[in-house]
Amino acid sequence: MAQLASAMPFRFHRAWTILAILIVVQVVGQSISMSAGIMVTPLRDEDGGFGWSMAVIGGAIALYYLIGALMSPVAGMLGDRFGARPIMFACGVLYLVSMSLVGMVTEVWHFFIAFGMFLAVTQAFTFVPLQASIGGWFRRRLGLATGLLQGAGGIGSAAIAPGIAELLGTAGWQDTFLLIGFAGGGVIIACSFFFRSSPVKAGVRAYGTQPEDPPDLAIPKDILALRLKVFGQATRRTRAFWNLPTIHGLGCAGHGIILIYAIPFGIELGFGSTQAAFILSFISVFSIIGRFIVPMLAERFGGKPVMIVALFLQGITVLVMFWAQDLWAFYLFGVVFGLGFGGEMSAYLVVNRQYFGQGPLATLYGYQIMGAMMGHAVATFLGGMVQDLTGSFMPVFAMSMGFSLVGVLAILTLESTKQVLIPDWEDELPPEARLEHLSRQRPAPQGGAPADALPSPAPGD
Amino acid sequence: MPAPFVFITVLVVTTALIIFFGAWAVAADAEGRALTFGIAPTTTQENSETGNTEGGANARAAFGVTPIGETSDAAADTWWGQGFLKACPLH
Repeated sequence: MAQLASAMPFRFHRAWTILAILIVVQVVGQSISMSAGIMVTPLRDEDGGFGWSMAVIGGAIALYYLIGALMSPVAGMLGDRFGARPIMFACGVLYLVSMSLVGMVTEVWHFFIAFGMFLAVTQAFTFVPLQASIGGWFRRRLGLATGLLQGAGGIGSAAIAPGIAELLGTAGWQDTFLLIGFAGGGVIIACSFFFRSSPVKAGVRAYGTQPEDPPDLAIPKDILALRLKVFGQATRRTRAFWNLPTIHGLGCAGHGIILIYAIPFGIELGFGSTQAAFILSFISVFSIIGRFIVPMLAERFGGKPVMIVALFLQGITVLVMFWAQDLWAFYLFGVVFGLGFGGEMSAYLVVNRQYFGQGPLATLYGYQIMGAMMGHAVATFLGGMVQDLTGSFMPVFAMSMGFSLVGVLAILTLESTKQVLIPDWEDELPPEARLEHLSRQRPAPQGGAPADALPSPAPGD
Repeated sequence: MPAPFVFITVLVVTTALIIFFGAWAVAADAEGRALTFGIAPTTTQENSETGNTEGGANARAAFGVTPIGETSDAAADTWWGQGFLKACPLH
């Protein structure tokens, strides 16, 4: 039966329901970052009640990235410790409170607290532990699940952005964010009632479980804490632990610069603002293809070569910007860059599985998102400074290319993704905390081979 | 534990870039001020009736020149601007 389940990717399994719930929550959660760009115009509008300078708004965005970066590993640790379901409920409450606070902003310091702090924390918790939880549900076809999660999340977020802009125009600032807060927060809270942190909590085996796979077990809290500690120590002894956040940071710095400066550059080339703005549409649409395909390719061919191709594509296509004079060349850049950009960001969950096996990977993913957020912060800060100093976009684009290509070099230093880097990490655990011992004590959930037939070691829940 | 060379290298290079460009921006801001300080007095015209130098005040305001004794909002006079200049060996 288990072999049949793995052979038929769309045979109904609870994991697909969980994936659908996560997609809904990601779409709602990613509206935070989508709304950031839309907020700028009303916040700068001197006739609209705010009239703040770009420096003030930029400061709040920088604080948002910084708090988001700091909170990502914390969110991951809490996800590993308590499971994704209570985190999802908390995210719903946080989303409701944060968006409502943004709606009630009247002073600059209100905005720094509501957007720069509250929404940053909400975003970190919505992103890290919830995305990472998909790994526990899919023993096989994690690439497909991750591709669907990332791709559908991208489509949904892109669709939500015009809706938020329309609401701001018709309902005004306060009503818009109160409405988004209550609607989005309500959806996430409702989703948490149908969500389960792991297959064992739902009484089923993970999708694609086969007899040789480690068992799904509900592990006592004290033993789980010990296993998380030892697992964390083992991961920190690998190059991949240090290099993956660095690579994600370099990749995000590389595309962050393009996302900020592509439109102003197009306007400088003489294109109209609407024509120039289409570049972001091309990047967004084709990034969805990259987001969907790259995790599957990473699962099929190994994460390392696929990451190299995606990041190289992101970096090398920036060359077009140095010679682009025609609109078609500008748009062609958007298409190819979008494929690379979408691929750069989406393979990490699959790569983590390939390097560290089945396990509590939310903390690791949190460090990688920390790198990504720092990359965006650096791109925003350095890119702005260099553009101001030189008055030219070329050094900024050269910097973007440099970040991406250094990222490619960093990937080359990674270990091979063909085998798990820490297969024997359980040897450092006391015998009573090892999975082999735990599996003898507890019955396995239904839907797969019995737990006592599956003695191979694996990390916790 | 393997030394995370790539991580440390990227951290150091990125920090160096931030310090270099930060110090460059602060230094460029200071040079801009020095230049406008030289230009500003040429536009100053003393009001013969009041004896005030309103033109000078206007010019100072227009060119961002800070009179002696007044607080400056120039980057080089801020704590972070001084921090960038002290941290960068090239500025």
